[in-house]
Amino acid sequence: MSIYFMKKEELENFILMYLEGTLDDEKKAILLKEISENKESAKLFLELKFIWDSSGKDLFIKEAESKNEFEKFKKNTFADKRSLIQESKKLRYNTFLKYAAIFIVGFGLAYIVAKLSLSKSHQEVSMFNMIIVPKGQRSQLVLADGTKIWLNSDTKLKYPEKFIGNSRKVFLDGEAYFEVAKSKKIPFIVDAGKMEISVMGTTFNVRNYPEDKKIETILIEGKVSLRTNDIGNKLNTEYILKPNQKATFIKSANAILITDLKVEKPDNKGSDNATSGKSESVAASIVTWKEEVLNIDNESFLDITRKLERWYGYEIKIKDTTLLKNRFKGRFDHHETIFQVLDAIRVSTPIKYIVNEKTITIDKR
Amino acid sequence: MKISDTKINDILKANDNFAFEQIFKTYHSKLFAFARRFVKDKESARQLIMDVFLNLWNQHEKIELINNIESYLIVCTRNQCLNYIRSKKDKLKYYSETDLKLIEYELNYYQSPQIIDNLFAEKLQEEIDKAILKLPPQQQTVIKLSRIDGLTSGEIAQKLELSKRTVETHIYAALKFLKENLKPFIY
Repeated sequence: MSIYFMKKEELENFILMYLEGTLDDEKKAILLKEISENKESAKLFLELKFIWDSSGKDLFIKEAESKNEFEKFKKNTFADKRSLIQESKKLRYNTFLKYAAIFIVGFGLAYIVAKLSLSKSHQEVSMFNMIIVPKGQRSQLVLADGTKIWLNSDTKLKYPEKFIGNSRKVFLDGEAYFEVAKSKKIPFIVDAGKMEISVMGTTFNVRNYPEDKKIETILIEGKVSLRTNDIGNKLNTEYILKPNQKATFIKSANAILITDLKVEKPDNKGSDNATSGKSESVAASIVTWKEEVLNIDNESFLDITRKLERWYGYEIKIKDTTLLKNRFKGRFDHHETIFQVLDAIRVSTPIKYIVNEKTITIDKR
Repeated sequence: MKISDTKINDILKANDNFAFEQIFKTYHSKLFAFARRFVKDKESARQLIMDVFLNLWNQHEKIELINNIESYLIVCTRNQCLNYIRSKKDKLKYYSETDLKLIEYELNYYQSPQIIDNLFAEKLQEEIDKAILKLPPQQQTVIKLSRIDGLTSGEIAQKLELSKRTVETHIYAALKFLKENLKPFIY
């Protein structure tokens, strides 16, 4: 004999109301408690829900519709794998446009307040938009002047809605790849906090995460000039970066180092006649994140964990700090998971990891 | 039609478009019907199932991980449903925390292969339609207004000039009758 916590009639009534969508939240909680504690009630609930759903309209899809879905699927995948990636990029871009719109409202208000209080100043003020790319995501945008910008995970970019005056200036926290539209008169300036990068029309990558010890600029083509943002310093010289060079600004030393990027000698001698001929841009082969390829280029475990946190949106905790000095190399496709990366590391290094929702704890094995 | 799992692994590994089509056609409508039990907005359910197949397609190179294609697809669909409901994106329904828990409770139930098989039974819709025709006329009218036109008991009561209590009794009786008639699908 089963004993009902609820009277049978009351239970039936609750279930029916739940199915019709007229049961209030308080009563839903009672229903949930009842079915969690009473097997008979759970059975009744599940069976009635099953029948209710099964007898509803539109539960089943028509064969023709199903076929149609397959055609869509085919278009996205079989024909061109890339279009799929683009599609998802477009989607992300749209979400960020929404964010941007929110910020426009915010800045718009600030702008109006400022204009009211400064009554008759005729200076034209440009409105700034801010794009925030969360961890685990990447995005791209095109500025009013035609400059294309790819934004890596965990990045903030502040940019004017349109460029006014004699410079084009954006503010970057995080990593971005720029393809700057050419303009001989108006330089394009990336303000990376402690350092400023000024260009006329080139392609380059800037990495400026607040928590990193350095700011890196890699030039793919064209010419850029760099300067520390140390205004009081009269010795603040300008540095010129050539293609395939990397500028590293070391925050603690307030100094810029310039290094040449070297071509990696492939291990396999047999297949390197292609590389010895026309040299593909070394810099471009290092900056791969915008192709959705995660490149680990002889980096320390500490740097890699930061990179992985941003790339995949996980938090990584390292239990044994002796691991941090190990270095790794590797390339991972956009569809490879963080676990595959960790498994690859595990091949050469004795680590183990424990996953708890969005946190990964790594320890020595 | 049921494709054996070994064959599916071969198909996916071989990167064979035609064969993938077979998988899609075998499971698409089933997964859709499954998702529709939890996702009220039809368009969203459609997109959600598309994502399930895109995931499968993107995974095809490392398919060793997939032992049983059907459970793999079910798990994917369950997760997609949960994520979707948690994100509160359904245009047709607002989900409270309690709603989420009830749905999770229900989704957890759909785990044993046998239950899932029944859920997928191709004859289910046919049998439901047949059983509805066997109901007494009044119950038939009421259940159709409820399940096809989506009216609540209150609305049906008004329309048919019956008391709400009577309508509820009819719906309940009809559901019970269907439940008895569809027993082989429930267990």
